[in-house]
Amino acid sequence: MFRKVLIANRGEIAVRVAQTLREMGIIVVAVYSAPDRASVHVACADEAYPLEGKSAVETYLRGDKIIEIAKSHGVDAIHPGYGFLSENPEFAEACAKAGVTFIGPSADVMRATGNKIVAKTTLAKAGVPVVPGWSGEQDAEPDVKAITKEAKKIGYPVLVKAASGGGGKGMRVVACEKDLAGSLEAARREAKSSFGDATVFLEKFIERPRHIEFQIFGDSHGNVVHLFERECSIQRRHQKILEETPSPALTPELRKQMGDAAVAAARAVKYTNAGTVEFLLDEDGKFYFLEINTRLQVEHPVTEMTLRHDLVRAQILIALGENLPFTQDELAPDGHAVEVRIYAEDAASGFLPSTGTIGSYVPAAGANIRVDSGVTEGSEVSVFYDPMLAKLICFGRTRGEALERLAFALDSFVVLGVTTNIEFLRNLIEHPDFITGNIHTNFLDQNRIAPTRDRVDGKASIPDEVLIAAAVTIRENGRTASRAVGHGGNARLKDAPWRSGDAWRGA
Amino acid sequence: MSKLRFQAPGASEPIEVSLERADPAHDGAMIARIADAAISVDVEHRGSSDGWLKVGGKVHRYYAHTRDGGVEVWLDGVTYKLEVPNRSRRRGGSPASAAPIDQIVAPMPGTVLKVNVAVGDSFKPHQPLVILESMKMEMTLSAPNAGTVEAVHCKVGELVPLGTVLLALKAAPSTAEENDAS
Repeated sequence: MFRKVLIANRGEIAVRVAQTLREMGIIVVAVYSAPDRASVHVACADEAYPLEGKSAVETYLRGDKIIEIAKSHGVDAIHPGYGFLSENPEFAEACAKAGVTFIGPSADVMRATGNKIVAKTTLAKAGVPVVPGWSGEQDAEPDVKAITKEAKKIGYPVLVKAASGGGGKGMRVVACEKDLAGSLEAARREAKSSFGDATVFLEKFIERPRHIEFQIFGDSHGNVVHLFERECSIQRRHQKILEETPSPALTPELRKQMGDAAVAAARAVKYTNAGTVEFLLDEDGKFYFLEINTRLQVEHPVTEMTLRHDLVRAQILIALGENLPFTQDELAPDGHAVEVRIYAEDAASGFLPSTGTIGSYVPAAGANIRVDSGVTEGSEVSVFYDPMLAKLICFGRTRGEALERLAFALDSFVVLGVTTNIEFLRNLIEHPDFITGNIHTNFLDQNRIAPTRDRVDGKASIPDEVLIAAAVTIRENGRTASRAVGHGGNARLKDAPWRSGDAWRGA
Repeated sequence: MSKLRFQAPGASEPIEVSLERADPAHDGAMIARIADAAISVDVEHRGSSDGWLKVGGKVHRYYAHTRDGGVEVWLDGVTYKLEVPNRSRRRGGSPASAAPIDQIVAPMPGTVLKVNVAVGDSFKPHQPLVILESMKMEMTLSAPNAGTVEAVHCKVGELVPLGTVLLALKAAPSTAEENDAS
């Protein structure tokens, strides 16, 4: 067993990994950037060491510094969480070289899957269905003419994607030929700045697809299983917002086919540890391989709730060289689980990220409600990192029961000080098409979901009780607030043209 | 007890609220006067930031947080933002949004990714002027109207706080009409 494990991450995932480590009697080591000095993930650790600087590049992406800390403090293994260094083969190799176990897939697996072009080719050979597309040689300057010809062959609309990308970055939908050159340039620029690799490829754009992924696990003895699906079709600009299992779209036959394909994909790349095989499912029930993610996914808790397995525990056992803690036949999901991601963002003004200090923080609680939080009262939400504050996961015997529980939980989840998407999520799960499970990845583009609860009918009104609560609070605070503060910058911002529109361009 | 004034976002007039003790024996029993109405309310507050109200037998859980001259109130699952208006603040007059915008302000803290214009350049309405990046998202700040660039106050790679003036603009004379027509 590991004696001491370093978590090379922050926020809710660092907190969540620390829980399992502590349960297993392992000493938890945290690292933190300057803005995260007082953050929750540090408080959850037995030991914590600073990474100088603020931005991710200066801190959580500095594999060399993190390995240095691990070596000088007797760390046996590093858990990378998701994002940051979790899918970086050089980091995995550097860990091995330093004599520290990397809790995740091998560098070879990351290389085989991290380049989406290579992954697609490998899996097509293994008989996994893939989306029609093109990926050719690209020099510093792409041959726009040649690529235009290929795009025509595939048929518009086409998708331009970054070969090393993820999370929707460097991805562009191109509706017609005249937009292709501009989108290519934008996608390449974004890919270069985000991933250090400007290579892009084309894919047929499938309209109204569902995003369905299978959790996979492999061990170093050649055992591979899948842990069933998660449906993640509710996305805004390729960022998942709500995930659930089981998918309302899968019949038992289709589930079996896709599960088998996921295991075939995992075997084709000799997969070890936790991963996810993502598929698109079209309206005719045909599915296509999308990509393999070589990390523990943000949405792993829905799988944990329906299978009652701790996936982080499984990751640790596999990293120790043990056999998978479950066989395919033992895995039988039960009930329904839904997760929503609570972001510090303002749905009423184009989903602008909201920064500030959290004033009140009261996560939902109760039977069959799980909250994975990275923040608490007094936490600073800064511009430096992802604006996800917490994940709220609800379990029910049926999808309907799980959604009723989720509505209750959203109604009782309090976050003040920064603006969140809680009310947007609450409105989303009331949408009739969502309730019937009639969803696809463009659902949020095609259905307008009201950003807040008080404006459902288009106009805001303030209940008397709110005014009374405000008056009581100000009186209790010694009436200081009533004398305060002009609005300087804010007053100007209110008049700015982008306030009215959706100025954030999806990446 | 003195009156408190709150302003809902977008509302034209502030609302006045006053609280009076209704019963000397019960700390939380109060009469709230809002506009012309007198409302009998029981308030149980826990600390200075949360509690519950009882109005006519109905129970309402609340949390409140004061910041920046305003107060945020969470009541029964919905968050409301109220401003506490500054008495000296300008009232009435024409709304500023009718006048041409003469600067581009960072609507979020972020990193300047691209500045597409230089001093003296002229631009058309909706032309992308500056690209900011914040929290993994790119944001294009486009021209609000036609005009020319008077000054550039930012450079590529710079981390800019919320509210930073990035560009000073001079609107072209005919802009307002063009916008109205479109």
